[in-house]
Amino acid sequence: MMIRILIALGVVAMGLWAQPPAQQARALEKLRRMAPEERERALQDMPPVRRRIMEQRLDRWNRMAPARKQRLQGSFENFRQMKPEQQENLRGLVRKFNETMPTEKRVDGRRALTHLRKLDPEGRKKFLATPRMKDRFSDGERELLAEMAQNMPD
Amino acid sequence: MNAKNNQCPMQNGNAEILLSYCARSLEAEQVAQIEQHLTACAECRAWAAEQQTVWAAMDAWEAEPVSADFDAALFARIASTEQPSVWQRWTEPVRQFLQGGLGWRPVLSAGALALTLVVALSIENPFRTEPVGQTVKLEAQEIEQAERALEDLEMLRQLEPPEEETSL
Amino acid sequence: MDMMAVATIEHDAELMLRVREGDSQSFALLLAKHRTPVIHFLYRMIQNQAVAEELAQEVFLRVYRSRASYEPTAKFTTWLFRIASHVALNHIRDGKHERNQESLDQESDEGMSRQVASEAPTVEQMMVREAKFEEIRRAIQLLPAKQRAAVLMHKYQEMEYAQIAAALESSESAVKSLLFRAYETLRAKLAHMAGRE
Repeated sequence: MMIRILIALGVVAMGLWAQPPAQQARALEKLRRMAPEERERALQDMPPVRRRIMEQRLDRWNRMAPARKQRLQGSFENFRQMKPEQQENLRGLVRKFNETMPTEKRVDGRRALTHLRKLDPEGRKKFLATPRMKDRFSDGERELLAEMAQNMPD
Repeated sequence: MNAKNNQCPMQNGNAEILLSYCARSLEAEQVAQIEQHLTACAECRAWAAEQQTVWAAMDAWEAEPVSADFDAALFARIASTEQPSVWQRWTEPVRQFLQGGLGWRPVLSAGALALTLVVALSIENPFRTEPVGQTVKLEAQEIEQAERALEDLEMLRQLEPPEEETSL
Repeated sequence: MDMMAVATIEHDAELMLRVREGDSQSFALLLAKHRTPVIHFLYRMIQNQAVAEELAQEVFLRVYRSRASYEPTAKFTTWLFRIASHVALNHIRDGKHERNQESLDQESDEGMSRQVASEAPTVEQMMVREAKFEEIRRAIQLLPAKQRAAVLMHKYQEMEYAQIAAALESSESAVKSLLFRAYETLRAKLAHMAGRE
């Protein structure tokens, strides 16, 4: 009897755990494991552009080195722990980064982000005020980087 | 070889030999002949130079690496087409029986099972709350979930530091 | 087929004959050897990696399904590329290609992030390389499908005229003229690249 109760509790706990992040990851894994013709069938009703983007992303995910994949999965888990409005905020900031940051500055922008994330708020302020950063990025670009660093998952 | 005599590939409609020369697929003897001709014929020389530029430019087009699970997916497809279908699996004992390769007992068992299934399916299941179309709907939801996951993963990938880590 | 005959045919054809006898290991060997060239050919034909891999699955599936009727009348690669060309040309003819291309054009943003992620030494070099690559890609994409197939087999697969002719089910002279016209077009579009980078 006790064992049955424990099993039931386990099932309930798994159900609670299987909230959106797990569902999304599972859906992705399911799609990834599909035979190409099954996938073709499953995606056939999607608008072509969305479908194409999805296929390319899936392909990139499939080809990713295991270590990088694991790292990204970790970030994904952390991202999913964030509140929906925080998630949406970060999506908006990344869109803004892609739309407004000039191409030749993006690699440096990503490096700056990596560094900013290691710093506390005071350290970030100091780093963004260095002549090197001021020389490389405009005020608006530095503000964007600061906001992104502040809103990114661990 | 005279530049303007009938041995000129461009003149005598044998331009593919120049193509082969640029593709480095000629024998040494032919290469020597062509190169001798090129020293004298400006037209062929210009043609070959342009062709070699195109050839070199095309070298720059590298194809993308192949997905790691390509073979696994192919073997899965082969296995799925090699395996008998559900219908074939169910009808196989009947087919064997009709061909005289099977006794009565398995067929009777299969018949009894089939009858049970028909009866069970014809009685409405009170616990079944999902409409038949639910499976398709669920799949559509899953596709959306996978799409969202991929979108967020792509965003997080873009936020990752560049591969070579050098300071600003 | 007797042993003497087997000894005189090429290795790939021999493997395929073993596949015909039910040896799946030989199929795995053939796949390992030809998977990349076939996918690269299809990728350059369709210019879409995910679709190219799906079409390549179809190609190898057809190879496997044809094992029972396989006869080594031509070189194995010729036979393989005949199947690959068929699959690619059918895909293009059915208009699925346009759909892929259309969506590719809308993905400049994706292309940009790929560019950012690459490890080129400097941004300038990276951009020059990207521009050059884009120009080549577009020039080849604009070739008529059969010309494109012939050029890709000639350039990247290093196939002889006779092999390309067999793969495209054309005569050798038709292939020569096809190639000549295709390279004329490419020269007109790409010859200015001489001396760049």
